[in-house]
Amino acid sequence: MTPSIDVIVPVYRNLDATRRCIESVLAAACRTPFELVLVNDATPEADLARYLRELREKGRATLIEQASRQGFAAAVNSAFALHRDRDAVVLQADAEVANDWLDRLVHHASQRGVGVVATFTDNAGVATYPLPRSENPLPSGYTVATLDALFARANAGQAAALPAVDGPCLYFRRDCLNSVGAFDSRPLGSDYGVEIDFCLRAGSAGFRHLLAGDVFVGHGAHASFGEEHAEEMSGRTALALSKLFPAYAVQKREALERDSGRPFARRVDLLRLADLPQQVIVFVSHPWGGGIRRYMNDLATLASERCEVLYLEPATGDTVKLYWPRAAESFAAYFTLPDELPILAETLRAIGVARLHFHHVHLQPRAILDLPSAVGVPYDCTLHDYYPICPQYHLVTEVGNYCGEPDATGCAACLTRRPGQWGIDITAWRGAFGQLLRGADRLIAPSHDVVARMRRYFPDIAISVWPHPEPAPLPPPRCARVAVLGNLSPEKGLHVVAACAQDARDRELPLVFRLLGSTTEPVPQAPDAPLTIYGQYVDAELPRLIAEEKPDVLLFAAQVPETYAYTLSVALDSGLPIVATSLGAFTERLAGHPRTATVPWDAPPSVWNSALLMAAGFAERPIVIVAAPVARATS
Amino acid sequence: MDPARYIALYLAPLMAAHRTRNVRAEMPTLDGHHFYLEEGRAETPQLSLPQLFNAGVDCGHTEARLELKRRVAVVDAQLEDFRAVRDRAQGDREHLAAELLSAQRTLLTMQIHTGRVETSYANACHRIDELESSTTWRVTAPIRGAGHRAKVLFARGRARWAAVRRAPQVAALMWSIFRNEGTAAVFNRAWAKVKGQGRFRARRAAMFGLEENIAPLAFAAGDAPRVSIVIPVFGKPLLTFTCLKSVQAHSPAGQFEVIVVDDASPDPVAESLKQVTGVQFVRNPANLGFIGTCNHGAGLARGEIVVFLNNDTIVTPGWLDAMLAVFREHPDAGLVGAKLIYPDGTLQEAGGIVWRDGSAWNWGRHDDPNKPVYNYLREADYCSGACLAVPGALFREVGGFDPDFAPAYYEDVDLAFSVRAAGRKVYYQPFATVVHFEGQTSGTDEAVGIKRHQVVNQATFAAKWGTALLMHRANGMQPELERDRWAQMRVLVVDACMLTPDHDAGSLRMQAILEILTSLRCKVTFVADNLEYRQPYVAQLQQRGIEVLFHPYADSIAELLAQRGSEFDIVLMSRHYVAVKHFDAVRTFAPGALVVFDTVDLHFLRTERQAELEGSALARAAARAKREEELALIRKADVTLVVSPFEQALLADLVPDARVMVLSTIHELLPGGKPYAEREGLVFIGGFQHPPNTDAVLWYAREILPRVREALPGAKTYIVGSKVPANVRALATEDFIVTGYVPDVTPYFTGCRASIAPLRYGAGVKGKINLAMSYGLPVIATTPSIEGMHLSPGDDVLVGDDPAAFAAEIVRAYQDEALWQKLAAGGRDNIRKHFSRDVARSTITRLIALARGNGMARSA
Repeated sequence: MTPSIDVIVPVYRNLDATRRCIESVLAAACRTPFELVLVNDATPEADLARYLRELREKGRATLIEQASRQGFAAAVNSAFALHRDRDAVVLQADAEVANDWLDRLVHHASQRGVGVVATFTDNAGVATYPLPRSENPLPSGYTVATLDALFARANAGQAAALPAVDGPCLYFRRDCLNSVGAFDSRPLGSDYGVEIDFCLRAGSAGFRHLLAGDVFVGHGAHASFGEEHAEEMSGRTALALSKLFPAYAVQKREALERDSGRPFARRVDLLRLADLPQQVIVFVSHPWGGGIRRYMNDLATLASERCEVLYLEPATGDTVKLYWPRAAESFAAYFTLPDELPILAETLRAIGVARLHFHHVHLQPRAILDLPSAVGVPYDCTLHDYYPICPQYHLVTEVGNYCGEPDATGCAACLTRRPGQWGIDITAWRGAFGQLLRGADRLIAPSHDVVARMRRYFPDIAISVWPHPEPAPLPPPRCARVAVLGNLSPEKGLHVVAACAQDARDRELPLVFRLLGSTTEPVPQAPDAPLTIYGQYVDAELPRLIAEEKPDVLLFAAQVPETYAYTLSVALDSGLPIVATSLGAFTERLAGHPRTATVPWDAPPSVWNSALLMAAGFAERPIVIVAAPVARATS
Repeated sequence: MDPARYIALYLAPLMAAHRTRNVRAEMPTLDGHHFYLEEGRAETPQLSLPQLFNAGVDCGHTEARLELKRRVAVVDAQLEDFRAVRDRAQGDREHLAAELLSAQRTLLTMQIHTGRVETSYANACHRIDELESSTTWRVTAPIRGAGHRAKVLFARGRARWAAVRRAPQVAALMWSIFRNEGTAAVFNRAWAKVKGQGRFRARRAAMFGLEENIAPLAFAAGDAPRVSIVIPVFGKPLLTFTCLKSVQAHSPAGQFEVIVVDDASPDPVAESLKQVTGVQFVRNPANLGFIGTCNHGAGLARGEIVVFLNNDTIVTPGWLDAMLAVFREHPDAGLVGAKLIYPDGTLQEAGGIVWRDGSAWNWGRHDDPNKPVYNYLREADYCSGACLAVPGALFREVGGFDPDFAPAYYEDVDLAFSVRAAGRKVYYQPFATVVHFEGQTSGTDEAVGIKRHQVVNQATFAAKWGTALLMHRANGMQPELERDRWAQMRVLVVDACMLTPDHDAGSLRMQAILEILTSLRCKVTFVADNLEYRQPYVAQLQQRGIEVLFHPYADSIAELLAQRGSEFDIVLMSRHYVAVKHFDAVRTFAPGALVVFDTVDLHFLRTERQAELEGSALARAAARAKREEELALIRKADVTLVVSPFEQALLADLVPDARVMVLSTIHELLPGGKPYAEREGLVFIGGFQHPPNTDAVLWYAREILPRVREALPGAKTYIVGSKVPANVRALATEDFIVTGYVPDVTPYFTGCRASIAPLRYGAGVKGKINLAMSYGLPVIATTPSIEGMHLSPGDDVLVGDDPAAFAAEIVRAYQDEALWQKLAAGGRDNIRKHFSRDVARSTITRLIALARGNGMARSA
């Protein structure tokens, strides 16, 4: 049967990737007949050129050889021109296809008014997986073929319309090519973005473009056509496109916001979750940080080798969010309770969730309490606070004091004044939670006090006391506190102090800098550098401030010869060790004082920091202080 | 607890169970909505800036602080964007307002036109009905058809034959074009011929015709006529009578004599026109031809000016005055020709162009005579002898029409060259319109009859003036440039509106600039940004030799630039809102031109000051936007003109790289009028479309006038200026007289005792102050209004900045005669030193030198 489709692979470099690409095309199990058209864009690699010729000689592919390098767009255009009655698939030479990929693409392309069809890929283009618009590694345990099979199963026959598409595998309908022309890199200034330009021109001509939800094509890095300056290129292309198609910027932003390919990717996530080799646990919690979050994250990390953890948190109103917290994943699904409790439960069962673990229910809809019975799996509860006893889970009054745990009347009165979550009275509250606790497989408390308090209300339940998992404590770090006095300008040593702080951070020295005063320009501060700023003070307060700050050493890093320096008087009175520039009045005023050291004004930060450590008693070794070069002025 | 132990405990129940991987798991169908959070409900609501400040700075949350930092940058960037959008919108608004105005104008024109077309259509329908219902029409139908077809065939044949005969001549012309300009030019020219491009379609019916019969006609005899009209005739008495009748009707009686010279025609004209009296009939002893006849007539002329008028012409109202005016206004004028039109109203000639080969063109033949290009006074290569005015003495000096060209043809062209050789100029006067029945006497085909001489004489002429012709272009090349051969520079001037020098000082200044440019041999094309056609101002400019473009002959400035931009050496745009609209088009279409931005006054300075007075943030922001826009223009322009050294100095700081020149308002000293004692009252002059003037008058009336009344009871204040707003008009009282627009302001300056300029803001040189000073009228002003005017308070002006001081200075000037005289003399001195035409001329001379340098740089 005569093929009605050309699969075009423009080739420039990289034999290995190209071979993998071409072999994947030839090996794929497609029913649609096609002709493989290779374009050798004058590759400088002799073995690559030889490989292509061999393919032609074996009759596996048609080969177009460009006499000189013309670039991607021109290479593809020459292939477009080869058979003027066929549809065309443009496959980048580092792409990899699998299974019956072409049959699925043809299905989408056969719909009315379609111009271009794109696919999912791991890297580059309009739809990447698992993270959108990212360079993803293939999910562990998957090959292009197995992942493509999941896409085919999760989203069979489904596609989403987009204003413009790009990517390593694009299907072009011939009627679209006929009415729009071919790639045109002139208005863009480069080949970068010619597909987008084509799509937008086709869009003006009435064609629509699709993202196939059921095809995944693997793609290496941006290596095939030597696009070294991708970022710069994309900026220039965006500018050119915005001039050619003023509406595109808005369309593109809307398309990004709508992210209409997202459901396809998430359905594949669900299949992958079901296919995981390890057990899956779901943590139920509130959406905040704090101790609970730390415990959950610690636990998930400790368990990460042997099981997978999903989080279930309130999102907004009665909607909860189920998500996969691993950084390389972007699975998230929303369910509004109680209406969608069944489908949530069904989903969790389909994934094969083995266990639930309640950490907190603040902001969760009330139906969350019914989740364990709906899913039908055992569950644990960790008691991070007194939620089961009281909606004011810290047992505090309005002003933040311990409430003393009054009797039921007192609690009822408190709840009348400030109603708790779900708007139920204290009896109903404790009844509901008593049921949750009694149904749990394990109740875990981090301390005995929690157990004692809970017992008062739920005397029949058994709670294990497991102090939180923490590694053995390290000896407390020691750190010398360096105080700098006065308002700091570059003349007064601002840059020296900033450089010392940077050095201390870089070399992890036990030094922390505290500026009693202000600066004339911004400098990196905690947490970026071990430096904090007290702010301006009144002169008379300074001795008291020094006493409060308890510095180990005082630093004067002036870069100009000081004539006197009142702050030095305060420093001398404090009796603290002093490190100062060996310049101006400092030298004579420090002479004869114990526990002082001077440093040349142009010493590197490492020398300053050594002097500071020694003065503070952190270093035993005397510091070699380089004498200031006296002849500087005349040299 | 130890982490390893903890996790072992924790996972113990899970590890006991066995997990089954389920690659074929049946997932419940999750709709798209499960993967999106409900619209508009972000998971983490965005905190306001104060909330972030609260959390970050007051409570010390690092995340909030970082977010604050980021958001501040975002907000700042957004603010910048908004500003840019707003500024652009403001620009657009002005632009759209201008477009709206122009569209409304077009609409009006179209409506009028539609009305006319409808009327003509109705009339035509009526005529057709009448005709078709007549019996003759129906009876003659077959004959008419046959006759018509025969005529068409015959005409076609004749046209082909004529083309064949002309072929060698056309080929020579084409060869010459090809050598000079290349193939494209040949093609263009041929194409233009084929298309018959630009041919003005005149009405079917002739607008002018012969008188029905010869009737009595009496000319008033003048004893000492200024003008002698010489009319050579050969037969055709009715034609001559028609001509004489129009001369009698449209020429100032008593100022001229008419000499009709009969070239020995078979029926003597004195006989056939004996009903015409007051005309001198002369008869040649033998047939002398056109040249001999004219020279004969000129020899008899008593008038200072001789006008040669063909007898196949009809003159129109004002023709003679217009021709004489040229001699009056231009002492160098040696020959003046008229605008010749055909009887059907199409143009025959608007001055002539002579090409290098000596062939001559009637410029504008068969075109619309009302087009702006044909309607400004200009020097021409020659003017047709059908109507020519020449001083008798000069005519004699050059030896009259050269008999070498006898019997006729090229004598007029030759005369024009002789006049020029004698150091005088040849002018085409569009305001003298003369209808010419060309060819009535001698047929238009060159090969036939007397017209044969045209070919012979061209050769004679080319041989005689060969050297002068070297500078001319080859036949037919760029007539639009050749017609203004005299111009050293071509200048396009775009201002906001048509100049109305009797209304505002700005127009007065611009008119003076145009006049100075013209006097420096620049051909000036003026167009108002609104394409306005407003009389008598357009005619005034045209009479000064300035080409004025207007609607409907120009559709937009952009189109004008696209068509003619490359012609100009200098493009001067006045006022920033005009310049900002057209600047890019000027650079595109006039790439070689020196682009001059005439600020008139720095608008941003004015708006900033107004904003300060108003104190509104919006006004301040608008002023800032204006400032950026204006400064950007100054950066882009080759030269910027300002009206005062103050502004020049300011720009030297703001835009140090820009070339900024001072071209102030231009004033002539005017006669002073009444002596001090006879004068009374105060005068304020200024148009109220200029906001600072309104502010000034309101301030004066509310704050100063009461104090003046107290000190000078009965002293009147005259507020003179057009477009008075209602709130000013409402203040009028017996001693506060609001005159509105006054055509002649002189009496106020010659009769009032002082002039006031209580301006609180504004920028630039104040015309009102200079106008008063040029009349020698003392001025009481405020500090902002004398900025950059070289004035020193007490010597040539009095200054008061608060109401009390201003009133006190008025009283001082009013009552102290010695001071009054000092101020009057000082003011006149200041005008002479800083605002005279000579000062402006030297600036404009520098501008032209720059443009020339620009041109040389281009060609290098």
